[in-house]
Amino acid sequence: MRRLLILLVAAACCVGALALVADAAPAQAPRKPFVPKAHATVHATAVASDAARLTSMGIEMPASTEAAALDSNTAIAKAKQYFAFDSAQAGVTVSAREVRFTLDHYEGALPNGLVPKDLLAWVITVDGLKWHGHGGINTGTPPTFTEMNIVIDANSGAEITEFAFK
Amino acid sequence: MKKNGILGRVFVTSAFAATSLLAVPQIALANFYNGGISSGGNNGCRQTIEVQNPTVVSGGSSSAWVMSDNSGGQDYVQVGWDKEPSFTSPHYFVEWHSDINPDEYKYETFGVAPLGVGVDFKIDGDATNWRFLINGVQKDYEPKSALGWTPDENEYQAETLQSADTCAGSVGNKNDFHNCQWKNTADGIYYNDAVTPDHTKATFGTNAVQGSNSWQIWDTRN
Repeated sequence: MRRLLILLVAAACCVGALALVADAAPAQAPRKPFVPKAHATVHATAVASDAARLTSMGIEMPASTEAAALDSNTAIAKAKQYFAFDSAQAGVTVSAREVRFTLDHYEGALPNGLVPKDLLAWVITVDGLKWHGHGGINTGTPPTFTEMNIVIDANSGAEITEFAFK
Repeated sequence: MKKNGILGRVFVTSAFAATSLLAVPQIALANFYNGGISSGGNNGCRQTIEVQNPTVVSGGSSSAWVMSDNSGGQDYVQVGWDKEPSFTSPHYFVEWHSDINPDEYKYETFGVAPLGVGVDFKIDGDATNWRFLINGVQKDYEPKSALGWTPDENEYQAETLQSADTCAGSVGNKNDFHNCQWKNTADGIYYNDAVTPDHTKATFGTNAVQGSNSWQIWDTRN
């Protein structure tokens, strides 16, 4: 038992030394080191359609052809101000859709005063990206997203939301 | 709340030591954290977190949030503020992920958060949904059944992605994390939480100690 404790202390010291050298190592051990779980259902679930997923997430955006103050090119330029992207980058594609936009699950007004219910909007979808989600210290590698949807008011150009689910 | 005994702590420490010795090259790629964790089954959590405007480099991010999660899996529900490289100031955001139902993950922002103000970020599990609230107002929800997991811990963190990103707070203007609370699954009441602190980068500072309910963080580079 005493030898075991000595070994444990020695191992802990090694980790401490590595932490100082690497700068990135945890200063304190997580209480539960990340261990991937063998979920039997992983990848067994059929991937829902984009439309079904949007509905599930409370995002409504039926197409619209109404007259708007911003055209699609202006909307894309505006979207770049809110979420920087390089449309010339290899693999990156950009599309613009004019919609009536609603966040079903959202209550109240956005900080800019807009109420995200049935707003005439441009949804600028940028595909081919690679950016990381946030996760936590005990939830392993955060997800990698490959898209971003920037939603802006089609008349004022104000930002409504940015969302990604791929 | 479940608490580890002495033997449990020794076992966890030794297991982590073995894991770390094997995984050092990967740690440099991981996100960086400055906050605290509490373990135990729960139905949500909340904390008032100040919004500051840290430095973010290309490909990076800096955020602060509360989260209920299924530790060991990539399963979490999260609400807080986030600064991405193209944001001049942090935005409110929610994010969730399930590795049980692999197409269930989302990131979404809800406008610019006010600087220098403490904001009540809250995860509230009701009978059917995970609800995400900011200052007491619902901003989103996601059915629990869609995610398919139950939480066994809470995290209250600031997080950065790239090494050059700074976390919120400076030595002279520390970032407040006030009154973390967890929601009991049995009676639905929020109780004061007590965390095990963590900070995973040498430039990150914190005055959190074992059992803290409120604390401040900073980055010596700010």
